[in-house]
Amino acid sequence: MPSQENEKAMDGLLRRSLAHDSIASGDCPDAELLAAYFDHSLGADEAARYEIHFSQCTRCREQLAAMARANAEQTADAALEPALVGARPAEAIALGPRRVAAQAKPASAAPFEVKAPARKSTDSRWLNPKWLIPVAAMLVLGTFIFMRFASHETTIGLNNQVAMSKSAPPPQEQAAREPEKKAGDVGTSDKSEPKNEPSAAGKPSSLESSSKPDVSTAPRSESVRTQSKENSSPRGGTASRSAVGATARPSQGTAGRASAFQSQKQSGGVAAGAAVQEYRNAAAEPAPAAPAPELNASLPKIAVATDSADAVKSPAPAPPPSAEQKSQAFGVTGQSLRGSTATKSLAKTKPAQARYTETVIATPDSDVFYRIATGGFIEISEDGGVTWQRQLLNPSAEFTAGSAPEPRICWLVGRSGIVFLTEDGKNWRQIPSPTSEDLIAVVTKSASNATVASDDDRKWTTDDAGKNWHAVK
Amino acid sequence: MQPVHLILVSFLPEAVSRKMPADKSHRFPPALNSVVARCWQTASVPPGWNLTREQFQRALERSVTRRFPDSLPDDRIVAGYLEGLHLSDLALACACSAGDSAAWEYFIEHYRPELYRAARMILAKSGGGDSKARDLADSLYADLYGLRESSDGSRRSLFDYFHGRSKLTTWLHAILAQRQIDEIRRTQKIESLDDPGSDDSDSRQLPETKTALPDPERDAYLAMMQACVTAALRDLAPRDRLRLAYYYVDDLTLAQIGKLLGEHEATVSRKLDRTRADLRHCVEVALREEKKLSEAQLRLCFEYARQQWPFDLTRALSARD
Repeated sequence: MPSQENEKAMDGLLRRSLAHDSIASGDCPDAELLAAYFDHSLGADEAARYEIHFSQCTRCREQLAAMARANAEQTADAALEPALVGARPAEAIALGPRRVAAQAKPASAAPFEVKAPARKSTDSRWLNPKWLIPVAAMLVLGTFIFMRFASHETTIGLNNQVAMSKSAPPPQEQAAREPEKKAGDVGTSDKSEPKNEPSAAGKPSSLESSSKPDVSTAPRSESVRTQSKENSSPRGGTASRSAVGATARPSQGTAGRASAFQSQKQSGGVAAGAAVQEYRNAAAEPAPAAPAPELNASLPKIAVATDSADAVKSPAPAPPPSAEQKSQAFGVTGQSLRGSTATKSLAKTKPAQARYTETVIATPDSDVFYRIATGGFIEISEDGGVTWQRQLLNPSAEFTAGSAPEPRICWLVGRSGIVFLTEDGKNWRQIPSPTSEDLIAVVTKSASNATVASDDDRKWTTDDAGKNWHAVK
Repeated sequence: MQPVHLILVSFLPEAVSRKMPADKSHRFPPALNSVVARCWQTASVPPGWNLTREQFQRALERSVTRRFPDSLPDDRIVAGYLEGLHLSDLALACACSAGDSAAWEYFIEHYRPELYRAARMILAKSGGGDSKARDLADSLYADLYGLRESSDGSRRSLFDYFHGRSKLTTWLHAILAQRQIDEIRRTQKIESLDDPGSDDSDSRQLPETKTALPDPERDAYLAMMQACVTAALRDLAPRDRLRLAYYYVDDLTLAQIGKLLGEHEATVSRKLDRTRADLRHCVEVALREEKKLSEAQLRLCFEYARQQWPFDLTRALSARD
């Protein structure tokens, strides 16, 4: 089936369905709450509550959209914004004229005679940030040059580290490099992007930095993908979005299917799943700036990057899609798409993927976490993710999912049907597997009971710690 | 013609002496005096505004009452809330509400251009001209001055409804947006996306193709597709649905959506793409497995949906709106 044509059809469907399918609610928030939501001044619980309302209330959503348009003009008046627009970011080119129009509209279009403030003091002239444009440009250039050197050194350092330990760099290290990537994306992506293998972690997204000065610096493969998607874009608008999505998908399949599978099972893994959910929510958004170091230290890192080789190939990785992001559309986080037959069938057609992300496995004990690392390693933290102890289970193993019904009991599954189990948190044993296919998900109730799912959506369960497996329909 | 706000300035003495509704807000305990003092200092109220600390404290108390209507919470919670307020904006609103002319001058000087600009941008989508934008912005002044009587005969400045939880500019934008959207909805209950002028080429009616493919089951296929899409959308997480709606319905840019949702543009793009792909997959699977359509029928469904969407069906589905 021609996928691009289907996407066009979906765009029309979505536009109409979303425009008309709204539930008018009588409890619309007042202007101040709308404004506070817009300013992100509400508490998390309040914001979440109103977001549910906004998602269903056309009136409120239209008001917020109108505010966003009004705010966009205000933003365009800021001095640095024209610099960004003038830079012709890759997104602007890919989006086509319609979407870019609002962003690129010159501030000088303001028609009123009161456009300029009635009076400006001498100080306020200096406070006008327009003179910052050349300064900012020089800063960006300086940062760009610095990052080229820094990323080169980082690559060498990582190579050494991999050679010595054959393990991925600590997540904290990667998180610390994220803000560097923001500034150095352009400079590093062109030389480090894997040409044939799209990497979710290392992809130089054309949208990642709207200030990217030149589209030609984007890797060739990205440009080709962008072009190939352009025809299927709504109003020419998703060309670059599709490209980004395409690069993100390789790791999405596994995590998504695993999550979808877990969401179907309401078993002993629920408590652990809830904890994972909480942490995944916390790590869901790739923040524009890196979190504070102490925050990094106190939170377990979730779904950071991919394997060591990728880290080496991508010295300045894009913000890695978290496990929540990977699974969000598949039904776990936020109950997205949960419960429908279609959702349950999502796993069926997703192709097997070559890499898997590091995954944190929560346990009923909020201090105890397991973390799947690459290279057959498993890591355990007993202090809420502050420190991790690493164990090598099998150098050739690639674990894809795990489940811990109790703090000391953890099941792991991986490629080629491997299944591992620990009952004391220290000693692991390989369990006879029901299949040689890749296993992508596991839900457990105890040390003896587990249900695993394979890449082709088959499931098996055991009640005797893997001695006997039964197929589950 | 004299601008509206200048005409209204002559009513300022009346605005000052207007009848105020009874203040039923919480009163701060003495333990919060230091917090109020800090807030007062942070607000940096110019002496020319004649705003007293007591008036400012009343405004803070109203704000806290609005946020915690049942009872005054723990002092630490109140302190955290107060220190998170936009205090200088609240002070300006407070002084304007009290009718201080210096504060009004400041407001008009600093906020009127922004009001006009925002009104113009808000009206841009509906094709409003500059004069309409000016009218929309000017329509605020009477309410901001508190010249309109409420049903109980009291007069309240619109500024009394500002409690400092957002920037004053954002609040003014919100009021403008509310007025404009309500006006649109009054005159046009549902803003139709089916108008030829507002539609995109993907979904435009293609009669020649329709005649070339005279399938009697066309409407049935499209109804099935619509049902599947609606079901999939209903199961979406609120944020995903909101993101889609901003993009597909409200025509916001990725940057604007990112600003609204507190996400980076790239994140918005990635999530939009992913959600759309998953929705499409869900629809395909549902059509195959629930509706038992063959691959050929599935292709036809998408072909029909791409060529022409049956507007009557979407209207039928929006009956609950």
